[in-house]
Amino acid sequence: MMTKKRILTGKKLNEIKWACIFLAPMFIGLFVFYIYSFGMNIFYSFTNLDSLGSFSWIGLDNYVRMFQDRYFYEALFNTFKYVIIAVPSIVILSTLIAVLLNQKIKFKGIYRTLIFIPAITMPAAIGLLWRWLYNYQYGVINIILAKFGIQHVAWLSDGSLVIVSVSVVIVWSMVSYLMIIVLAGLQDIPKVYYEAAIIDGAGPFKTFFCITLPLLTPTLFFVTVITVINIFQVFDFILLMIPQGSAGLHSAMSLVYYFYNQSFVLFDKGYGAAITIVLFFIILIITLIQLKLQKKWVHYN
Amino acid sequence: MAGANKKTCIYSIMLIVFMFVLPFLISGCGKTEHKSGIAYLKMSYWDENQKTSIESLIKVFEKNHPDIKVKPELIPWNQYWIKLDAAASAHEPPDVFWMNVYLPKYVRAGVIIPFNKFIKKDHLNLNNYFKTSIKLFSYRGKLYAMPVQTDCITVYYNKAIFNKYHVKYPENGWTWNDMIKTGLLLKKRINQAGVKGVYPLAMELDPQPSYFNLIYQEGGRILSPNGRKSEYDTPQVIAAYKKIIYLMHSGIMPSFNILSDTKGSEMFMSQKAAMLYMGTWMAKVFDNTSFAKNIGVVVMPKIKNNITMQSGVGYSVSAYTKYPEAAWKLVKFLSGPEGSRVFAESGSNIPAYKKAKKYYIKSLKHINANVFYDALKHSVPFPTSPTISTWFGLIREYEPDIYSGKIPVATSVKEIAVQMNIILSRVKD
Repeated sequence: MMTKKRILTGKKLNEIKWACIFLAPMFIGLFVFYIYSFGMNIFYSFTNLDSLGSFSWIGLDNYVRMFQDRYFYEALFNTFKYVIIAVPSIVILSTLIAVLLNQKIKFKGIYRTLIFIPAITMPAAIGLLWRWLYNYQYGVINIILAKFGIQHVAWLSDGSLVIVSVSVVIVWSMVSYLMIIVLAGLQDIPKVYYEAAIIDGAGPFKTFFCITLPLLTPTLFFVTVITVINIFQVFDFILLMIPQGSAGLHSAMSLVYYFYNQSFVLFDKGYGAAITIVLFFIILIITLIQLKLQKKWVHYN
Repeated sequence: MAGANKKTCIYSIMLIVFMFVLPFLISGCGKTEHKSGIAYLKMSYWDENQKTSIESLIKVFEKNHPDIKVKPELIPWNQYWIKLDAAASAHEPPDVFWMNVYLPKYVRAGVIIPFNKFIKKDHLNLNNYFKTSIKLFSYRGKLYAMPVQTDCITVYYNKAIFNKYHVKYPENGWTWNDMIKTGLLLKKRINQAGVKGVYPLAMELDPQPSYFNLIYQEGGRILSPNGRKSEYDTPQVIAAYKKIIYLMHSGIMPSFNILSDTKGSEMFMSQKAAMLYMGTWMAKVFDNTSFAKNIGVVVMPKIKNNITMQSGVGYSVSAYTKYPEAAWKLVKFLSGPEGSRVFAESGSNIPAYKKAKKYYIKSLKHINANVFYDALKHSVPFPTSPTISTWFGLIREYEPDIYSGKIPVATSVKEIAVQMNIILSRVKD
């Protein structure tokens, strides 16, 4: 009995050892590129780190400055506006498109491919393309509108419009990818439920709201969490579509854009680090709230 | 069974080790074998248009110096400083690299070396270069970059548009009021003709080709002469901004919305703007357009004076280089008579080496580069200090709010000056 036990522990130890060795590459990567960098980032947010790596400890100065910085508040509110506009649009649109593409229709493959194209297009290409479409004087959108007698609209330089304009591009580019995830979720729903519903005489709307939607909630929850995090970090399209000094910049810049500007244009990296820490806590809190709320609406069978 | 397990384990470990070593192997492959007695220099620059001329110059240099090998690296402008700073903070910047008005920052951080010792030894005559270029690249009386290119702002105009609306061309010696009159007349005639989307004047509203010039022309300044205090909170700065706002409101210039979406030089090249404030870095591009023979150049109109910003690019040598002597030889060659001639022939910009003027003027087929030299008679070096990237970025951050009228000009310049002074005070002597 005793000997057998000892052998077992020996075997187990051996297994643990090997598990550690196999996990090491990933953990080292995780540690160096995430945990260590994150720790350093917190540290730098209390310093006046410049681009050449010299810094001195300045305590809470960066955070004090941030809460007196008009442009920080602008970026913060803009970011929330992006979330409020883009997240529901993305979730609703990707669900809608996925449901439509899950029907028995002709040329389903072609539609799926067409809708997926934005997901495989480079963000840089998307940004530049839309920038031209939106151009005030020579953009295609305004030229078409002019044909109907509508005055030119400053899509990217009118402060009250620019967030909507950029959001349209974000939604357009993100829906395709999330649509695939929702589509996979839809195909996981057992057919028997639908067969039962048809026998019971339920119409398509009733089926959708009573069967599809509840059973899709785990997927939708995942999609929502991912989208919220992504939208909070919106950056590339703003950088690509709105040049520095543009009339629309302050109404369009997000927190990540503001961080980029501070860190890599003004080279005030300590301040940039502080901005990212605030963003981190915002995303953390919102994600925690989402995890708490999921009990209320997500059905795991 | 146990043996098989062991084998799998060994293979797995080998695989893991291989994955760790792989990056080093790959990076090792890229390196050329270093022979002793030969200096290997890395050199970085940002202008793609100069790739061919730089590479041809390096070939000549390597032929003349068999003991020096140069590897040029093109880093696009929007990554250039980020990459340079990252390399410099790891004490591994390229041996030789392009430098501009950011120079004081690198001097203060000890990244670049002064050339005075070399200049003295080689009896180099700095009078061959524009005085302003030398000033721009000097810090505390020492020269840290050898100037190659310089620039100035002038007004380009499209003769075809002026002819079409029967308006007289602008002439050297004109004043701001002359320009307003010309602009309003053009505006009137364009409107009468029922033409839409064509404007008398365009500017790119970032500091160098537009409002910084106007500030100096009003008699103002960005920094105090010793570079330690902001002089942004002055009536001259306010007047300069207000002049640009007036141009947009009067319709002489397109509205701020339009200028935000379409660059001034793009409007000029699509013949939608009759006049354009622009730097000489665009001269070659304009010279290659289909309507180049219609492009005229004139110095900026006079407000109190017609001073132009003068900045430029030079070559600096890293303080961490293993081969300072070889690096200096390369810099001396590239900024010397031959390097400057090849640069001037490319037409990319005005050569800082004054004797290369004739090659530069010849390189532009249609545009009269003599005007640039007239403009340079009244120039100031672009204002700079060790914290330039931060305060310059700050000034740019206010542009949208000033031009859209969201924050009054007087309030903006006051806020800018306060924050600039905080930033400037970070570097203590």
